[in-house]
Amino acid sequence: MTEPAVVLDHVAVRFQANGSAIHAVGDVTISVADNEFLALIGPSGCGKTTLLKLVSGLVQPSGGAVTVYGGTAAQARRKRLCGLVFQEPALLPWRTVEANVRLVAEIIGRRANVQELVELVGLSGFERAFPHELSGGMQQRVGLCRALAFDPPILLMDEPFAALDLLTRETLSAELLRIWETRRKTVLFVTHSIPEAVLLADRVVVLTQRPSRIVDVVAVDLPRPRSAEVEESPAFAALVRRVKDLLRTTQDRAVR
Amino acid sequence: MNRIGRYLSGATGVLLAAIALCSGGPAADAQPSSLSQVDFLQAYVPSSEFVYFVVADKKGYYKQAGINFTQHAGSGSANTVKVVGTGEYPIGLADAALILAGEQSGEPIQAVMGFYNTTPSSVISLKAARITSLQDLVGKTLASEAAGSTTPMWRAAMIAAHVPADKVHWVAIDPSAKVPSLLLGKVDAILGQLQPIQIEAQGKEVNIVPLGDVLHVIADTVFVNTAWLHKPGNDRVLRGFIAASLKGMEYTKDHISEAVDLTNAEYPTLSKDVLSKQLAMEHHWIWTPDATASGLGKMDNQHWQNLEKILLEAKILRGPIAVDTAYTNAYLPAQLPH
Amino acid sequence: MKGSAVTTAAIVGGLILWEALVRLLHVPAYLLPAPSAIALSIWTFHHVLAIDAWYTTYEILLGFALGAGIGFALAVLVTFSRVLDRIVMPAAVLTQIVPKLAVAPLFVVWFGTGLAPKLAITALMAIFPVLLNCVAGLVTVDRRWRELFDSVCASRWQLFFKIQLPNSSPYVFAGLKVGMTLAVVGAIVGEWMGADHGLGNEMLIANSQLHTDLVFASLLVLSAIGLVLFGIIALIEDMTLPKYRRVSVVG
Repeated sequence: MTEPAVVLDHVAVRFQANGSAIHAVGDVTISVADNEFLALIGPSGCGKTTLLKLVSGLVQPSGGAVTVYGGTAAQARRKRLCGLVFQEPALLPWRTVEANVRLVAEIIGRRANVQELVELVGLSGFERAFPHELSGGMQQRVGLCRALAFDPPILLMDEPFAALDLLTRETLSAELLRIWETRRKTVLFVTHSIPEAVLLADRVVVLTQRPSRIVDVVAVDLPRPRSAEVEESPAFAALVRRVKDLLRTTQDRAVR
Repeated sequence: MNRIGRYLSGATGVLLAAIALCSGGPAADAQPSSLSQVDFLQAYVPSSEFVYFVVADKKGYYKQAGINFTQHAGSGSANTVKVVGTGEYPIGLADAALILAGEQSGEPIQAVMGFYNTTPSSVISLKAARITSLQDLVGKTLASEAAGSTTPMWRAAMIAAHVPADKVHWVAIDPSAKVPSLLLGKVDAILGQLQPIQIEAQGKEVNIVPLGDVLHVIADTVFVNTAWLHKPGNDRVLRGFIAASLKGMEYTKDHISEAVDLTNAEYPTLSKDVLSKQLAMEHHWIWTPDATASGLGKMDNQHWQNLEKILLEAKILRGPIAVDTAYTNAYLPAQLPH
Repeated sequence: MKGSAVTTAAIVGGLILWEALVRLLHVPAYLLPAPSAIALSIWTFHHVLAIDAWYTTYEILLGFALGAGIGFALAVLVTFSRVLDRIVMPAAVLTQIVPKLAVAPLFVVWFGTGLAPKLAITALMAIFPVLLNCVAGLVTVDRRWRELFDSVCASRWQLFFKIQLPNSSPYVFAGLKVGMTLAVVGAIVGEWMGADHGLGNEMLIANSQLHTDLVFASLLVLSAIGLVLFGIIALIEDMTLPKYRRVSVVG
């Protein structure tokens, strides 16, 4: 068995914000295998984003340890192992699609095959367009390309499709699946959508309210390659129901 | 990169364009080398006070004295005293009160030629107000600037005329607001110098009570930076400058319309009509009976002492000053205009 | 087109009303000259005003270039150093609070009566808005951009050149526009402290003769210069910046 990509070992995060102490992450232990697609789901504000920042080295754990490919998160950051995809793509408005895709690769001095990436996400012909000329879905595709352009082994995706309409969201999910199946990467994918998590992930981690803990990890044993049709299957429906039930327990706990 | 390039060109383009445009800016005139350059700093912006020096220049008096002459506008006697004090200009024209104040604060300056031989300040009012003496000011409103020596002069004149100044309602006013305030009837009288010309131009008759009737003080004088003066050869330049300037003043007295034409050619926005009227008024301040008797340019020690006394009382001077060294008649020519 | 027609009509209407009021109410010229008198004054003295305009424009442009350059350089320093931020910004605010007209005589003593004091005052006027807007532009960095750069250990310089500098350009232009209008004021204040040429100098001469129409004529020429210089910056902004990147002015 190969070495896991990411290991969170009894990780806790506390920080000060606006003068009050925030206990964002309670006690999280999980191991993410190389090339695994892991979905993180939980109530809003449960510290999912903080978990991604732990892996990218932007946040230090207050307790426990983060290991990325055998090293610390800080080492991983220096080796540029993580590509970030945000909910809003945060493109540079003064750069063209091409130049935005190239941005991170440019910073770390790596050559990027921009043309290939642009074709991969179906943006051919828009290379010279500026972000404001693109739809939200197209902008998010550029954001994805930017993360892929320097070919990091880990993709950290923070609700990347949450701001999009349903149809665009489904199209992009399908595209992400296709891309992930052709260029295997370890993906940590934060989402609010249960069907999205089940469709995309190998395992779905269900988290509690802040300070977040893991309620359960649901293994998604649906066959790959998957497509939208898989959503029609009874197995899919059962998994969705199981995740929903788990989430409901966290909600009930919150209400109580 | 393309975007950054365009950005940089945008942000710095203005600056570069400005610098490029300005590299060919107004250049100084070339000077003939055989003449001594004299830059003369006036007390204020161009007006009739420029005329005498324009005449001396245009008639060639300065050239004959070996001087290449340029006169510059000032921004008030106080600044002229300071700038000549720093040595940026060797010679200037300023109110003697400010020359004394400048000397007291250590400026290396000395008055060398009388210009206004009595104070030009007067109580100016519309004829209808019937103010024909300082006594008539009692119970009236008088406006003048708070700063400078004009108001202390008036207070001294009131004492000399035995009229209690506290019976007059005095108000401080910005110099540029004096004439409009008088014309609009907001005040009964103002302290001023050449303002009657502006008032008469509006079709109003004016009464003038010169403070010089009761005060015997020196007013505007030509003065020099003494550090400049003590450099070799500059005493000769100064003598030449004074003699030529006095000749200009004498020529102007007898050729007013020619003097005005010459000045208007140099300063086209100065109207000939206004200049002529200003010269007529200035005549009384320059060609005083004393100056006519003792010779133009010569300064009277008693007039300096009188001025010092007034300034001491007004606390414009912090303490007594040796007026004997504040001025000198040593650089005047042997023959003075009468 | 319709908008500009309305503007033109309003200006023409305003001028006619002004002329009529001055004539009908017999407003004395020393209080408010009629537009026709101002126009005549411009015509009569057009060659003098042209020379004055050239000197004043020269002072404005040079002083503005100096002020904008210093303002931008200080802004860059301030964004790189917290210590300098604590020193430069209060000092800049202080220079802005001090009335320029009050310190101008000191400038004459320090810098003499030539071009230097005019440039000093003009530059001092222009520095503040440029500095303030450039700092605003340079520090306004999207949190996610910063995270993106941090996640791959980008250098401080990379953040500056790839994000801060290009991101600041709309703010820089906003600052330059305000700076230019203040530079016009600065040049005039500088000329009032003693000058042999320039529109400010001409205004003083005209004022000393109660030649109010020439004062207004000088003001009109000055306004035209200010508008043109402002327009040039707006034009450069138009050519280099896309519309969606405009920001409103700080200053």
